[in-house]
Amino acid sequence: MRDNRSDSAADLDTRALLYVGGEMNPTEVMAFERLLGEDQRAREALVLAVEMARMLDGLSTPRPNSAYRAEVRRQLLPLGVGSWLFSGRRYRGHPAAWAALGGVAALLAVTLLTHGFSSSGQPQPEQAQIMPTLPAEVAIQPNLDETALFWSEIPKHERMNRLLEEEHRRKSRSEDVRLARGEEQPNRLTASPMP
Amino acid sequence: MPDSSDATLLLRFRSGDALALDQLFERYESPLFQFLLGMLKDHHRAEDALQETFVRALGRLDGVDPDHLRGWLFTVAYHEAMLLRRKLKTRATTPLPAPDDFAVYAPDPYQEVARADQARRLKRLIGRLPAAQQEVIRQRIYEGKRFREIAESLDCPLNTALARMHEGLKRLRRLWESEHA
Repeated sequence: MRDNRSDSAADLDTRALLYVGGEMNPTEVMAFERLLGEDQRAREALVLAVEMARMLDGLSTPRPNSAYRAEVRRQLLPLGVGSWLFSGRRYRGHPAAWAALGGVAALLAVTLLTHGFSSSGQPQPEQAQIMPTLPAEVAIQPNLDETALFWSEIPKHERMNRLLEEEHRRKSRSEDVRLARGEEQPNRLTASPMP
Repeated sequence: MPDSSDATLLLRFRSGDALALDQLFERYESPLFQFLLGMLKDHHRAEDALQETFVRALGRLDGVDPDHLRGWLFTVAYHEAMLLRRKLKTRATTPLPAPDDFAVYAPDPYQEVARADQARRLKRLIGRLPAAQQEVIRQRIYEGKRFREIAESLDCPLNTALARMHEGLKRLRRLWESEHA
């Protein structure tokens, strides 16, 4: 059972004043802090004491820098799909993760199928001849470490664009090589039918 | 904007309403910050603890009675303050500031002028308090005496000096608020 006198509102107010003023001995501090852990009236008394101490300093009531709010919002509020994709905090079960993964997979499948069909329209042996016989200065020797670093530094939303550009470059490169060798550019409209 | 109850605000917040969170900030930010400042005696640490308090308290609302949200927030704030102090103690590299040291940002010249103006107004308002309360506040602010020293100089019990101080401050605050309303 608590001592009514020691926990009266007036007593809490005066104890809060002493606490804020740093005029309690360690035992009193411990006792008051124990009270702060369980008694809302003691907490309110402390709030009042701090406000009044600040007022006496001739200052307005101290307020926190509101920048902290943005961090709280970031951690607590659900984000839009766009902001979620490009933000740092994600978890695997988020629906947007699966939607994004599905989209990438579908795009890759379409790209591969399209490329497969278009390349199957070309005579296979010819292509097999062209690629291995590229001159040394034309052949690209990618450094895998540099490539990995390069891709890791590109934000994810740019990677798909880069992939598509790379695919386009790769297709046009084989045609450039053929032209450089003086071969006739295949006319896509009159290309010879598949054997 | 209509004044929503805590329960309504919590319901809206849980459905992702950012405005509800803003209203919760407006309602509880100030008292929680004063409370944390009182315990930590440092502006920056109090801000850090305030952020963690909101994140933890509003992130774990299951089982929290909306009618006791204020108490819940203060409970979490209390634990955050104690946790922060324990961390500082174990690190032992950055000691807690002296009890009276409420670290704040260095004021710019405009703030200094405003502060001086506020101090003048405050002094004038103190003159409107009962003599006994005036004397305690005067000795505390302008002479920098500790409460025990004030009680000795006035030849009264410590609790009497503290009660006069508290009553005087409450009255002063009402005067201040009515003047700035």
